[in-house]
Amino acid sequence: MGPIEYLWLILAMFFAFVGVIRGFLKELGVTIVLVATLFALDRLIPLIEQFIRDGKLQFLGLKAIAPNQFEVSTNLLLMIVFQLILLAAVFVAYQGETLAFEGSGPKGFLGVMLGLMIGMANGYLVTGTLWWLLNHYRYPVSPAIVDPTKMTELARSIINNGLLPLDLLGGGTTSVDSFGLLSVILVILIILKVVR
Amino acid sequence: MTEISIPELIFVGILMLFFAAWGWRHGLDAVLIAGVFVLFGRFSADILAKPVASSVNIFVGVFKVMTGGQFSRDALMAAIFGGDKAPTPLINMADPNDVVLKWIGTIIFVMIVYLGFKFAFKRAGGRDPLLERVFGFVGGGIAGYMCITFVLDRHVIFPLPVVIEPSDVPQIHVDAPLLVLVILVLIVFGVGRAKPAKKK
Repeated sequence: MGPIEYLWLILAMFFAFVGVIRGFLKELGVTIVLVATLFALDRLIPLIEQFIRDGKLQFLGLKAIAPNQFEVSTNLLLMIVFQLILLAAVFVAYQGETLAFEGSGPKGFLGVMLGLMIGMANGYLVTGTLWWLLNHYRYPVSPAIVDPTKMTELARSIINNGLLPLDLLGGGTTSVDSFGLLSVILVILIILKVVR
Repeated sequence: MTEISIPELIFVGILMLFFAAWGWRHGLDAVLIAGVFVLFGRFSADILAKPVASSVNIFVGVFKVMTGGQFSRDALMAAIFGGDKAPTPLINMADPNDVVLKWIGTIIFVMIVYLGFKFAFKRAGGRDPLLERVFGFVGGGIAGYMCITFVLDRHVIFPLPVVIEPSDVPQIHVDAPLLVLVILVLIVFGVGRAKPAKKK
C-alpha cells in the first residue's frame, strides 16, 4: 500500500470534485453537519475515554491497562465506533436536504472555485478525521492495511505538527476546558444560515 | 536589531485595526480584491526587486564612473555590463539579506498593495449589507495582518521568548485561526453572491 498521506490527498481531491459538481451552497450544508459532528466527537471522545479509565464501562469489557493506554481490542472498538459515527454523519449530510443553503450558488469560475474550496474542506474534515482516529488509537489494524512503522517523513510531520482536523481545529482531546475553533466555526455557519 | 518594548501581538493588532476599518467601510468584495493584490505582492515583491536592484546598480555605477574622474568607454561598459573594472556595486545581488535589496522589495510590496487597495476601492468600494461589512472587517484585518507581518518580518527582529529545539520531523507551521478566518470570509462572500430561493 502507498503512503497514507497520498491516500488522504486523493480522497480529499475526490471530495473537492464532488464539491464542484454539487455546487457551493449544497456543500456548505454538508460542512455545517461535519463541523457539528466533529465538535460532538471532540467532546465525546475524551468523555468516553475518561469513563473507561474510571472503570465505568467494565461491564462492556472496556478497561484501561495503564493510565493512558487501552487494550488493542478496546482501541479497535473505539476507533470503529467513532469512525462509524462520522461516516453516518457524512451519509446523512450528503443524502438528505439537512442544512443545505437554499437558492442557487454563484455561477461560472467563481462558483467552481468556491465549490472546489468547500468540497476540499469537507474532504479534509472527513478523511483527516478518519486518519486522526486511526492515529489516536495507535493504528489497531493489520500492518497490511496501515503500518505506522513505515510512515513517510511527510506523514509523520503532518501528525506531529497537529495538522489533522481534531488537532488543528478541536481542543477537547488535548484539554477538556478547550473548545478549539470548531465551536467558533459552527456558530458562524449557523448565524450565516439563519441570517440568510 | 530593533527592540520594541510592547508585545508584537498588540503592535500588529493596532495596525490591523486600520485595515479592518477599511474593510468595514468598503465591504467584503473590496477586501477580497485587495487581498489578491496583497498575496501577489507577498509572492512577487522579492522577484521584482532583483531587476530593479540591477538597474539601481547600473545607474549608481555609471554615476560613479562619471563623477570619479576615470571616465572611459571601457569603464562605462564595465559599469553597465559588469566586469573586472566595474565599480563596487551598491547592492549585493548574491545576498538575499542585503539591506538595500530588502528595502527595494518592501517598497515594491507597498506600491502593489497601495495600488491594489485603490483599485479595490474603485471597483467595489460601495456600501454592503451588514453581514458583508462584518466579514469585510475580518477580511480587512487578515489582509492587514499579511501586509504588516510581511514588512515587520523583513525589517524588525522581535525578541524570541521560545527556545527552538532540533527535531527529526520537519516542522510545518499552519496558522489555524488565520486559515479558518480566510475560509469563512470566502464562504460569506460566496453566500452573499448566491441568489436566494424563490418564495413559494
